[in-house]
Amino acid sequence: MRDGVALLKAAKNLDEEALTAIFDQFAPAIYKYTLRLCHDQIVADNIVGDVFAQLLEQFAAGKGPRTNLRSYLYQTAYHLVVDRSRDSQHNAPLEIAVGTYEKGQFSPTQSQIEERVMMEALISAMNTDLTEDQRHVIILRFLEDFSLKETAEIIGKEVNNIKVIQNRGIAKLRKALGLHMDEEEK
Amino acid sequence: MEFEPKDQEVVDLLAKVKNTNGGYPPEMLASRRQTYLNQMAGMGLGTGIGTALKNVAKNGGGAGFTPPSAGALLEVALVVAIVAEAGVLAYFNRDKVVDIFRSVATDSNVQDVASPPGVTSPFPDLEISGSPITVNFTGTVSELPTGTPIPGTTGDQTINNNGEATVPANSTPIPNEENGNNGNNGNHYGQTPRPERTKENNNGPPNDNPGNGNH
Repeated sequence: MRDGVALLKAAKNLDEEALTAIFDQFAPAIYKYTLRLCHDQIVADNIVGDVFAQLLEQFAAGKGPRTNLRSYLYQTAYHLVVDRSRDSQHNAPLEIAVGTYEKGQFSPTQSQIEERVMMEALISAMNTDLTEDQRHVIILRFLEDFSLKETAEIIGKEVNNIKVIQNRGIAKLRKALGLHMDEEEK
Repeated sequence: MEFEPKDQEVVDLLAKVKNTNGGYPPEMLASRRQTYLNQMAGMGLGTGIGTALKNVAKNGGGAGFTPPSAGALLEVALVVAIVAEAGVLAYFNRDKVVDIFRSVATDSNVQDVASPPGVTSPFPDLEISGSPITVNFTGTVSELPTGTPIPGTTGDQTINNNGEATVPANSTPIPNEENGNNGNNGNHYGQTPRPERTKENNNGPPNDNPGNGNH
């Protein structure tokens, strides 16, 4: 597999092999990301299609990402998700993740059940307690492993602002998990 | 990462959520991939032409293009043809061209200011003389104008020895008592009669200077 820079350079020259490799490498990740933000598999699939269609158009016009292709793709997906959520007033739940987890093909032990309860509580808190910005930052930082700088570029905010949003989001989640744990204890 | 210890538990849970998320359904991924490849193929058709043109521009012309020397010759020939055509057109339409130039040249004459006739001196007072002004008509007077007669000129025309009609011009008569002008000698400066006061001025300032009406 070519490295990122060589792949990007070849893709900018509309090399079919490079463009195909980019899709194979990033499409599943973009799908997972969009699926976390919008609870519809069809919508997530459509957003993936839009992301790569825009990428092709940008390359054909001589534009597109210069260095960080991954951040660029996530940024495009982020804007598409935000636009769709504004249109449909969806608040980007993470139900698919829970459903997938529930359909896991294993027999849960007691500890796994406790862990699953905690994760459900966490996902519920992410869907209900966090603001839009906090949810995006938490997902990009901890589920997609982007750095603070990359997250700032994707969302279009300053790094310090991202730090503040992240800390507040984690504090909210911690508080929500504590409440859930208290309820479980009761 | 820069987290507080109390946040570590949340971060660990988030990492577990990351690993448990669902993947792209294979059939959906295959369909999307095929759509992407079709878009790429369709775009490649259009961009192939663009890329070829770009390469031609970069290389300064390919096999289908004439060399630069031939291009320069063509350019010179084109300029010569344009100049020759313009010259031929100007020759056949030279009359119109001349008219245009003349109209442009004469337009400026219209804007010349003509001097008014009869102005001979900027000091007309110096030409006043006591003798009547004699108007000399060059040529014969065949017919008098039938318009309104000018006072003082009718019947006063005389023919001199040269056959010229002379009209003694009457100046403005000098005002005097005999003409019944009631003391109006024509010099009105300072002789405007002072208006009579119709209301007593009891509170006003004392009027020491009665004045003569010439203020």
